[in-house]
Amino acid sequence: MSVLEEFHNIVSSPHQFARDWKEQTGGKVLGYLCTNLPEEMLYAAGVLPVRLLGTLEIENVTGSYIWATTFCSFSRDCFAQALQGRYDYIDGITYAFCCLHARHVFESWKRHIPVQYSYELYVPYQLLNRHAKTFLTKELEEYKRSLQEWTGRSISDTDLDKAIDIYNTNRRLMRQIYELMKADDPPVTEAEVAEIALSGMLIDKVSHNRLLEQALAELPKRKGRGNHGPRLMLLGSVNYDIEFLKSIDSLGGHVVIDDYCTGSRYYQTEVVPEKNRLASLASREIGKPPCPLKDLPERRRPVHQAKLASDYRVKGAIYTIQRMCDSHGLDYPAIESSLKEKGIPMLKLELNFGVPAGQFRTRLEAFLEMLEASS
Amino acid sequence: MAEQADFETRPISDEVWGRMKNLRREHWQHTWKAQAEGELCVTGLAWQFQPLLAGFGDFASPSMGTGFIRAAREGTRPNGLRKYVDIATAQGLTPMCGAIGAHLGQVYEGISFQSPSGEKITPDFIFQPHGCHAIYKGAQICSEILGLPMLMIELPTTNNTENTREYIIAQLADAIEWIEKRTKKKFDDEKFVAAVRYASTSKVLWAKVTELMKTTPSPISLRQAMSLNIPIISYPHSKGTMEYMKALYAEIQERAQDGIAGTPFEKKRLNHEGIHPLYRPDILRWPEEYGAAFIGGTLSRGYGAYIYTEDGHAMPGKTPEERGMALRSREEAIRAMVYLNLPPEGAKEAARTTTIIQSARDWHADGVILHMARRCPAGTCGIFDRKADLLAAGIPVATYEASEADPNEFDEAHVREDFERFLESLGLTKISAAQDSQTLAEDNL
Repeated sequence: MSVLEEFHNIVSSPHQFARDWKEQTGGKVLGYLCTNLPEEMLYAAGVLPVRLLGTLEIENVTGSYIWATTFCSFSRDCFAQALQGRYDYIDGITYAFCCLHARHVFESWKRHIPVQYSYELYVPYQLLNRHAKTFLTKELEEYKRSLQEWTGRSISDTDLDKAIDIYNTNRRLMRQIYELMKADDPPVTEAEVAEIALSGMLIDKVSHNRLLEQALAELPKRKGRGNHGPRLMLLGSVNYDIEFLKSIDSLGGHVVIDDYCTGSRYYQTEVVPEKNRLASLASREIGKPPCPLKDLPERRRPVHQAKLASDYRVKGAIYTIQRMCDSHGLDYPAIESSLKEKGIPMLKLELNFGVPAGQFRTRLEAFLEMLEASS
Repeated sequence: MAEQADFETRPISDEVWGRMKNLRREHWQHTWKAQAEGELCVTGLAWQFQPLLAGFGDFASPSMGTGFIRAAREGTRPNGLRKYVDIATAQGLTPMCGAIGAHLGQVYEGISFQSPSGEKITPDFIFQPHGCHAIYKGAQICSEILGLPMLMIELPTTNNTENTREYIIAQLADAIEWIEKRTKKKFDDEKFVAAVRYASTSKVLWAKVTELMKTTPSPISLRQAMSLNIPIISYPHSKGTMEYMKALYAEIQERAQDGIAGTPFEKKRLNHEGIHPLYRPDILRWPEEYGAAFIGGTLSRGYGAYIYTEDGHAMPGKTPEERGMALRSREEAIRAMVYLNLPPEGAKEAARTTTIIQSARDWHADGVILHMARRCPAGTCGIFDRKADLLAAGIPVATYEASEADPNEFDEAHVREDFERFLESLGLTKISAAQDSQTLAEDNL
């Protein structure tokens, strides 16, 4: 089996690794909502962190729990998995403060799905405030106490150092994967890269690092596929729809980078060691490229996205937004305008579980034709 | 034949009602002159901590929570409000809650800082001390449209801990320096301390007024409360507001003692939870057609100073004096303000459903109506569980869908049907009461 097939299998059976890990180690598995969580703390406590995601299948089970008129399709998709018992191996959950849609999933999960442990970790909105680090560090101290109580295991600085090293290695290796996409004719497709990235949120980082090293040894030897279509960047709400990426590719679009929290953003910014390990984790949360809700009051996202666009020589952007996602909805005009200033046109598409293939195809084709005509 | 009233009603005295109207009038008249007189001019949404601005002297706040204020003001012509939401939506801002849409539409249209007679002012900065994620983002967009700096104070109010209080205190201390630096205006500690004292007293008094609404009959209706609380929403830091609140509290105490009611019937007492459609304040009177009355809920509790217990009771908060806190310096006044907002002895906000259940019990409500405000995640997070919990607690409950500030979402026939179905399920039928002109003082805010 090739290493890419291994990544594909992990994403295709997203629960398998965690189930097997739990059976083999007897350890605890914790599901988390939103990537503002310093996972290193869980690793240091011997807990396997798993990102809670949906399956993009149309569901009919959340109607009596989450109001579809107001809450995003991702939050409902996520909770649908729990209601259908697909996360029955989860021992605990943590919600690292982001939007109210994710909070709803957390609240509903606590109430309706039996878990041993739940924790709401407050992560500030205005991360650049000079008091945010002190505040967040103290919040992390509280979280550490809570984790220790739950697991019955103390978390030492040595444990944290080891976890930080493993996670930093993971970020470094993953960034090398993304580097491959800078080539004119990259040896991997964005759909393959998306599977590599997603798999890292579903398995433990030591295993992921091993696969990444193997991938980095094999992939540069691969030939590109000769896709010389317009180079594209993906932006917007959480998106892990691999078929959607493939469909862009099939139309001649050449996605080379994304700024998704389920993609490259998750792997940005390493932890720089400090004497107080929790303070160093807080510093990473503050310094990493933010999501719209943490991009306050001044905006940092346009600068980060402009750099990505420049580094990856992007000609167009696609902004995908989960239905009812007001966080990314309210950010859209600012992002569109900042990219327009750089001469990068943007297409907005609304996701609602799966994608309306026919409609999207027409719009994507028109967008790609426009880009080709203007190049 | 008209049904005889169960309770005696009486208008709020001219003295108290007149004071409220004078405060409101003075506020708006002052707003358009303040900047010309060298005063601070600030805008933002969903405010708290006004005493901090009062430390710079009198200030103008032309669009403090514009979406909400305008929604209320546009009550008789919701088409105007609809236009503003549409303008914001046309800018690509979607999905978006009604209040943010109404606010930003007015900012795009350039009417937020213009008096009805055409006087214009330019705010010095955006002051954004509270909010859900949408409010913070809305304030950011507003600051970009207007080219104004934004002063954000983050309130992690779901987190009632010392760490949170210290975080807020540190931000507020910095905020004073931030304003001084940008406006070149000097902060006056004495004015600040006085404003904290006035605001604390007023907010605690409002909590006491609403506590008197537990009495049967309630001395005022929820609709009346919505008009009477305007001064503590908009200018709680003023001495005039404190004096008004003292007079109001004395009068409501007297009404409660004398059995004077806000509405002639209370065949069923109801709580309204969630912000009602502000452009249709009349819906708060609809139950009166069935001899029922709204006597409590989110917005009667809102804006007062409360301490929420772990088991959900809402009790009037404590002024700094009652808490034994000295108010001699800037630092002490900041701390007092934060303790009023986030009392250390209070419960976590997460107990919201428990609070709604206990409030229904404590206010002797026979039922609760929940507003499901479309596109408002803050107001509707967990709403189905809340409904189930109320029912499990033996409290009849109904829901209706609309929006707090977007009239596009208000379908009157449907909402009426939801109200009437619920009132009939409580065993009520339409009454033919003599229309008591004294029942309510005014319909519009």
